[in-house]
Amino acid sequence: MKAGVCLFLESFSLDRGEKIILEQLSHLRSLMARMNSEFIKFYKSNEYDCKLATMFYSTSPDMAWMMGQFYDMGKIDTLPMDCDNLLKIINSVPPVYNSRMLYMYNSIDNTIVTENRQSTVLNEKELVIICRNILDSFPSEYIEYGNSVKDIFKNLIFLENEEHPTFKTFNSMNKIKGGFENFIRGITEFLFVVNNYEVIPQDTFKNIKQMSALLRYELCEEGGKKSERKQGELNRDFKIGNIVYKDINCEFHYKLSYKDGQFNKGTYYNDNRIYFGFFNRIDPSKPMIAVAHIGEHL
Amino acid sequence: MNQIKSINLENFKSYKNQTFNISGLNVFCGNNSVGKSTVMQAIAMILQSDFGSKSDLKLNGDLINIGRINDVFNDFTSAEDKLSITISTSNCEVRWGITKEDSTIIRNELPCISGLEDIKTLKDFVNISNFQYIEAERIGPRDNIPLSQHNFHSDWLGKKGEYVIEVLDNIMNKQDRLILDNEKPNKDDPRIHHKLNSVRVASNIQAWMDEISPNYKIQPKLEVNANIAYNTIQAESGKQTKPKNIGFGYSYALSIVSALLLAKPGELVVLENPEAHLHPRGQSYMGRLIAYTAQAGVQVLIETHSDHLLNGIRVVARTSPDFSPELISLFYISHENNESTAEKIAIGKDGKLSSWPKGFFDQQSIDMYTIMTGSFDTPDSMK
Repeated sequence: MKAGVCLFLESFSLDRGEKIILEQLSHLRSLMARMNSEFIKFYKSNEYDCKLATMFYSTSPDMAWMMGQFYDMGKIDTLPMDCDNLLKIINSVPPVYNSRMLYMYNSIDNTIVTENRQSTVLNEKELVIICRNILDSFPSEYIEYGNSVKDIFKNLIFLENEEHPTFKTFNSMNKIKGGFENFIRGITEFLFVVNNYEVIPQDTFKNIKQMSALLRYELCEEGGKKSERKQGELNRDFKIGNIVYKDINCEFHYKLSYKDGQFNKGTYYNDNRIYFGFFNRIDPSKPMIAVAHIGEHL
Repeated sequence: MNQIKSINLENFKSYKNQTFNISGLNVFCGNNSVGKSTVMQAIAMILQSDFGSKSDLKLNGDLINIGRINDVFNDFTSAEDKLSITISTSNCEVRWGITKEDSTIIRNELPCISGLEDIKTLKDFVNISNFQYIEAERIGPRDNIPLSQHNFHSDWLGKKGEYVIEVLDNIMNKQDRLILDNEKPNKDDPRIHHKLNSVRVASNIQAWMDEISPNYKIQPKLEVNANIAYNTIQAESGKQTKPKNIGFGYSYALSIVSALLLAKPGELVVLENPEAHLHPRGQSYMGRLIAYTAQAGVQVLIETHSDHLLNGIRVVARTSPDFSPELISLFYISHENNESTAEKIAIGKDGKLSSWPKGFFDQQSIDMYTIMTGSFDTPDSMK
């Protein structure tokens, strides 16, 4: 199961003037630029463009430009149904169409037209919450899950470096002791929390402390084993675009200690880890969390 | 300041009877073959008639050649109908005309039928106006161009812009020229490029050309013994190159930009298709320079098919606090029922137009509608 965000004419305040409409389009364009992916697709009904074109058509090229702003916004797939039927699906429980949960996009400050507020998405934060719920409610196998989290948690950097001889990917979730499928919620919870966490530059201690407070299981830097490791053993090379950022310290880790729903009740697992580092090579004033490894204890 | 106030065309080509009230900036838009050039031709006839010993209006001369009177008489007229052209300036009004019946005798000059006493005033107006008239068909990139044989005035760029290098050689290599108002350098002239703090005409021509073809430096030169002018263009690398390596837009725009910046307040610039061969950015900046030129007090008449150029003018209307909407006369020319007519459209301080008539600049909307819907039937075509 994946997510679909649907656009309607009612997603925009079309009666509030060009400036407001352009601001709303700008927000949507930013959202789409970050989130449009395999897991999150944007959709329109098969009459959306016709309705927009008819509404905006005039002899003024200013309006033609406005039509172009809507039409050439980015990849939006057309569903084989009209606006009314699309809204019916969104208002239904669960709002499923073709293995996707559908939601209506709405601009901030615009009237919400779905029957339930939860059926409407206003921004990235709300979209991530929806996606988290889908990940939790509809488990997938570890490769697909790994791809999905990269699509959803856009504030995080995930290690994917095909050219590296050893450390090619963060995804070792198939090696989780007790079975990956039993730890999905725990992993998602961690990713959700750190995706929302604003890293304090140059203050690892405080970051670890504050992140720990937000999480269920133990989160710490490398402890006793540090002296037994080779120097830089937990450093990783992250490839972003075409640039490889070498030797990012990823000794920090989160201990996936219990199967989902068994916190402090079931078997304690000591060998499942999420390793990460604080990445400040692009913008030192806004460090990001770089996820190096989800899987077995390294 | 003596400027053209109005032009009336009666049974001249496709016009039955149309008066154009002329402002500082006059923009003629409309479909092909609807009569935009006709207005420019009427003005060209006045500019090319020397009014020395005769008061007649020449259909054929240095600027235009439009044939015999019979060629330009409105087709849908009877023998007693009159073809006339009337021009009013701030201090004179002259009318030339002839009946259809008489037009077979007098072949290619229109006799003056009223305002004969104003002919000298009109002649003075034409002489003082130091006009530029640059037609749509200009010279493209050339290795060299013959020097001028005859000039209307010392800054005459030629109707095809063919003398621009010769004139630029004068102001860049010999006699530096400043942007003036009342013979004094005017650092507040709106044409001064925003990146410059210079009233030098040459620097401003270079700066505005940089908006169209960035990083190519004009280097005009004369070879008097060979009777030629040529432009060696310096590229960003410092390499000298020929205009043919820069493209048509550069050569086409150079004469237009020069005409607009050489003109002093009170002078007249008439331009056909100033946007020709330019990228939309260049068209838009050309529109801005045209608007600033009018704002500086130069009377400008242009014929255009470019909504980008029009938007450039709108940008100035919107962003220049001193720009008066009254300065602009935007004419939409259309042809229906065997007659050309002009609808005047106002541009507000907010850059908005008072109306967007069907056929004016609606092709983008029509195409966008079809692209979005897959239908050729636009909402207004279904009404």
